[in-house]
This record gives sequence, structure tokens and C-alpha cells, in this order.
Amino acid sequence: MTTEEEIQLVTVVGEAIIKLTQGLLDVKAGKLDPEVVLAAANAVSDTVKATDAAIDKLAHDKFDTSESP
Amino acid sequence: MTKDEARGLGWLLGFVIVTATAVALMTGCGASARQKTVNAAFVVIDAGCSKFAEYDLAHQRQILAASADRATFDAAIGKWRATRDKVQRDCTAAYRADAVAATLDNEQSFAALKAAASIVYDEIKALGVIK
Repeated sequence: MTTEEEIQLVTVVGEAIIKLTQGLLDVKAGKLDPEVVLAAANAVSDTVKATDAAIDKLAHDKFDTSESP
Repeated sequence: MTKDEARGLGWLLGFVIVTATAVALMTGCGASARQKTVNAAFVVIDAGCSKFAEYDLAHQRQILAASADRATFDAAIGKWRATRDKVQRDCTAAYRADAVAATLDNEQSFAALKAAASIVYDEIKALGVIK
């Protein structure tokens, strides 16, 4: 998997998790389930971590990879 | 995020906060109205923090593209991530305040939720993620 594909994956996974939590909220349609709220918080945290990892890999590819003559 | 999306999100955040607060005040913060506000706060917090996560990715990519060397990148990305981490911690605090308010359903937890949500809203707005 290329880094660009990883970036795409981060975005897709993040959006999927967000839709999942919103869907759970709709299904509940009443009192808010605290577990849904905490799952959403974790989703944002996981997305941020995945972003950092992907950007660090891109930076490594850009700055730290020396081409052989 | 386009300007239109940012404007739309800003409008949504402002509308829900103002409406939810007004409903809660008009009804004397009864249990039912309070619960509706807690639910609405979740939607607002989740929308704002999710958009912020998208903005974080786009912003880090911009920093990488604009950096000519490793030292420049490290300095710029370190500065941004310190700012980002603070907002993310406040997002987590707002989510937790919402979960606590949903569980306890009392005035104290409701007040804490409003304070936490306001902090996140102000920070995201100050960064230009929303207008």
C-alpha cells in the first residue's frame, strides 16, 4: 500500500466511524448512550493518530530517502 | 474544507448551541429538555471535532508540501501538533462531559457540558476551521 493510499484509508475509516456513531445515535433515538459518545471520542483520537503516522511516513519518503547515484 | 462547508458548519454549530440553550432556558431545564440538549450537544461536538480531524489531515499535508527540508518540516509540524493536541484534548473533554451529562442528567453536569462545548467551539473557530 502506498502512502497516498494510506492517507485515503485514514479519511475513509474516519468517515465510516463517524457515520457509524451517528447511525447508532439515530437508532437509539432517545436517551443518549454514553458508550456511543465515548466511541465517537475514540474515533476522533484514532483518526488523529492515523494522520500523524501517515504524514510521518510521507515526510520520511520526502526527506530521508536518499536516491542511489 | 471549502469556505462554503466551513460557513455551513459554523452556522450549524451556532444554531444548535443557541437553539438548545434557548430551549433549555425557556423550559426551565426540565429533565426532558435537558436530555434533548445533551443529545444536540453530542451532534455539535461530534460535527466540530470530526471536521477538525479532517482539517488536521489537510493542514499537515500543506505543511509537508510547503517544507523544503527536514528541519523546516519538523519545526512547523511540531508547532502545529502542539496546537492540535490541545484542541483534541478539549474535544475529548467535551465528549466526556456529554457522556457524564447523559448519565447523570442533572444541572451540574449540564453546566459542565455547556462550558466544555463552548471551549471547543471557540478554539476551532479561532483556528479558522469554522467561520
